[in-house]
Amino acid sequence: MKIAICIKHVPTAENVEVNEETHQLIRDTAESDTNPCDLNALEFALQLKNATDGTIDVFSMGPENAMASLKKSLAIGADNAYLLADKRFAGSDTLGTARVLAAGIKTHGPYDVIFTGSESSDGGTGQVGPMIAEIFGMPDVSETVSVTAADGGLDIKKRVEGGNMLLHVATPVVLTVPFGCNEPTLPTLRSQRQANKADIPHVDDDALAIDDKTIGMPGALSIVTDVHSASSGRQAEEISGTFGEIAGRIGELIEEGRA
Amino acid sequence: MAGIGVFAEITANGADEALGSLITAAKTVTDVSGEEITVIAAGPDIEKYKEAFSFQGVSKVVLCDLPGVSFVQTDVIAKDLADVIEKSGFSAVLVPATHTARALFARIAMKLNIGMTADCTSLRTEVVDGKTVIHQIKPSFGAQIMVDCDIIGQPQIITMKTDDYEPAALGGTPSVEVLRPETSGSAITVNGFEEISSANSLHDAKIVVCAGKGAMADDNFQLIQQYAEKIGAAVAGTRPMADNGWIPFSSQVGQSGTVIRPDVCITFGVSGAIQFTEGIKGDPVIIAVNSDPHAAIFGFADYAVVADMHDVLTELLK
Amino acid sequence: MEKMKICIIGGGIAGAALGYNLSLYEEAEITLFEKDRIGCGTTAKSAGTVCLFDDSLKNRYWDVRLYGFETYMRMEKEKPGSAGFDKTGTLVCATDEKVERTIKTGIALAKAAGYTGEYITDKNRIKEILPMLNTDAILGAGYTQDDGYFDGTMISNTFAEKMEANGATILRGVEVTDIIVENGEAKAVVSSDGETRAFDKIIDCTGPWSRFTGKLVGLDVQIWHTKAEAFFLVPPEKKLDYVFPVLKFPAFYALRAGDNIFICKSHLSMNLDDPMHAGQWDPDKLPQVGGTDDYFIDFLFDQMDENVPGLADSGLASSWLSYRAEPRDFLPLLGDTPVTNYLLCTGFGGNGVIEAPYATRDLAKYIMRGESTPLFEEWSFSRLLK
Repeated sequence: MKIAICIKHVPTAENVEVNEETHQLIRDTAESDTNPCDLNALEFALQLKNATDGTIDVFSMGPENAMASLKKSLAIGADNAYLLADKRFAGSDTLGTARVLAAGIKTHGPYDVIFTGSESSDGGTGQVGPMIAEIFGMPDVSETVSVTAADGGLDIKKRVEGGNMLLHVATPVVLTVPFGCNEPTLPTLRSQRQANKADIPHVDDDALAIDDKTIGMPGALSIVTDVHSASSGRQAEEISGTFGEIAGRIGELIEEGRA
Repeated sequence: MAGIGVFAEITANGADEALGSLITAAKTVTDVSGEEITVIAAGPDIEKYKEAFSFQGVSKVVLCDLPGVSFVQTDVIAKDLADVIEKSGFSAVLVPATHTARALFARIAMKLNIGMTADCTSLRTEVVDGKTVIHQIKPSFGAQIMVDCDIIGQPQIITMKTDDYEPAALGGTPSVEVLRPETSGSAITVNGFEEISSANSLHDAKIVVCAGKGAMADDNFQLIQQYAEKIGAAVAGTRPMADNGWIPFSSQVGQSGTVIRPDVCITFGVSGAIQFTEGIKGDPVIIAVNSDPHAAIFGFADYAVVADMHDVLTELLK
Repeated sequence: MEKMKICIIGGGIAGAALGYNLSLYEEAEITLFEKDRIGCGTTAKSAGTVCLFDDSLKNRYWDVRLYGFETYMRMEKEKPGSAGFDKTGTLVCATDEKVERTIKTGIALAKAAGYTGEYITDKNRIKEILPMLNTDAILGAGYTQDDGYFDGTMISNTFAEKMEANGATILRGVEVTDIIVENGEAKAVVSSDGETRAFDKIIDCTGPWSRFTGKLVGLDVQIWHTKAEAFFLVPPEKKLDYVFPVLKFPAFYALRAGDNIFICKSHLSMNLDDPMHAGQWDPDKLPQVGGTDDYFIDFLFDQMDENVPGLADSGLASSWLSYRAEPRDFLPLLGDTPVTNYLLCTGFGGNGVIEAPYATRDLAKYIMRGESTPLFEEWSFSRLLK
């Protein structure tokens, strides 16, 4: 099977603030890493690759530091990686992002399966995967928690409330994968060292057949107009009273959090 | 008059309970814009939901009857709903922020080239040059910052978290239109359903109970395990708990252990050193129980209970 | 009784150990400022190895090592777990004759202090102790079962608990933002809680932050940051059915961390003039995880491939970068500075856990009694001014 996967390199600093003058985000540090559930997606891609003697191509739309995630993907077992980078992609909303990724995928396709993570940890919308499916006229299955190659397609388990739907999908198909549904294969010192030497091509706007009016800032239909700090700092709210009252409040918080 | 659409999601469990709250959210828009609210839905046997969708304030209900189509067959549903929305002239469609609805509407957004936002928690509406302008507000990075969004063009798809909206009352008398579009087959076949027990893997779990050093005393750890089972949570712990064999190393949360991303995390007797806190990501709601008022965990948690865990657990298990 | 008002800046292993030692003198009135959590900065990223005869600290300073080790063993005896001890034993590998001699010296010193230790040349025996070791690459190895590694954060918190029990004050989450100096004398400390407090003595225990703390009194503290890049590896067998000992090679060390193995390049192999190894950076900008350079992957891979082949093919679970603070001669900076009443207790450079008990015991005595010790003189800050 020819498999494609889209991964995102995301900032991982958990503490952010807003510069109230410039309305720009200030992050604790410049920490960044692979979007966590993208590794769960890559794990399914790897399982399929091994089961069908296939190949995995990884695509990422992002700045230069996304190379680290692409190299990690190669170290984990992907075969080829491509960085889709161009100033003209900047400011893309989910529509634009999906179009750029789809264009990149189209150049090296056709693929039997396209994987993405379920959502990204930096304000994830969960939209890009299904949008890519729509562009290609493929079906999509979101919240995929199990994938097995079967006749003419794939047997899939899709996580819904209360359990899993047992599905069969004809390929080609887009599958989005949630965090924690499998145990991602790790790179090793040996494979990471090897991957660090890889020459990963930069793919820019000129190399892709896209209408520039539909991507980047020109194509963005959802715009952030303002950003402000919300929480007043990390002071824990004390729960006190009788033990019965405390237990009651904890119970409430759990139900609220569960929803 | 354009109109506001509200998507009534139907899954294997029936109609989405959040619909009433979504209607209330829609009313905050129409109170300003004067538009009418239309509930739209799609699926098999759709007409039986007529009454369930008849909230006060809803003018119209548009039902797309798709016999034999499952809610997971978004390749089919997206096409039909996109048609409905395209012909509707809506200024916006409010959609519940669920995994299934957002995946469905993402396809619709791409098909119609319309803007779509995610997980909005509140709306602020204006009428500008006769057009409804809806400013959307959503939290990001846990709830550390609030982001304001606008969408260019209409219709707009707004997926909403409805916790802050009271459900609207039923008892409305909307007009009902039933559409029976021709449906093509889906590439997705449904072969069954398997129930999942509440004992999730640690990484999958929405709620995690973490045991710290303090749990080694008395029967604390046993109580923690019982409590976790009661609320359907996974059990994890700190390094001392693993070092001493109370939990396997695979359940040790932290820098040298594993990273978890639950929605809620309750800690008992955890001091809150960085080796542990680094293992909790995604900014969940954290409730910390510790008898030491100086415990570092209280600088990390959202809620603090300064008490002996044994007393608290005894109450929680009642 | 007139108490001496003492300010300790920094609640890592150095500050907490110093605070504890000072709290044993009834005339000391101690306030410790920690801007985040006790023992959760540089100390939290330490391996915590306190081995009887490895090379992290020259044999010249054997008494420092012994005292540190025994302090933590006493801590464990008093309250199990309070020093986070994992008794794995240590295997120190000799890659050449010079290393072999040093190991044998260490074994002699350990035995004289009542511990067991042996130098093994029988490769089969070494392989029994650590099956995944490539014994072809070494001459032999020193081995003891009596030591292992500790938990610097746990130890810091235990010292903090003890000093508070003795009446000291710890201000958690409070940062020192300025130090008032009058006529070359440090007088008072301004902090983020909006207070200004007068002190008789102010001691900088901020490790990698010492250059910044020093600036508050106009002092140039010449420390370098060397990179400590650590990796957590998942052994191919997932779960080892033997106890992985602390493994020491001149270039790197490894120890178990739960089911995984923690590896790190040794700090004494760092070249302060090599920007890949060392520089002068901002510890606040250090990420909690990641931040490791490709160079270290190459370096550690070569070491593992040669010496512990199983680890070259182990899964890379996570990694982090820490800064160790050291002056050019790789020895700590203790004691008086040109700014009166401003002292240093910093620059432990990756040996903080090993050296803190002895160094802070002597420093505390110096502060309270004006009495010095030979070690104190060798490690004094004033040596840099000569």
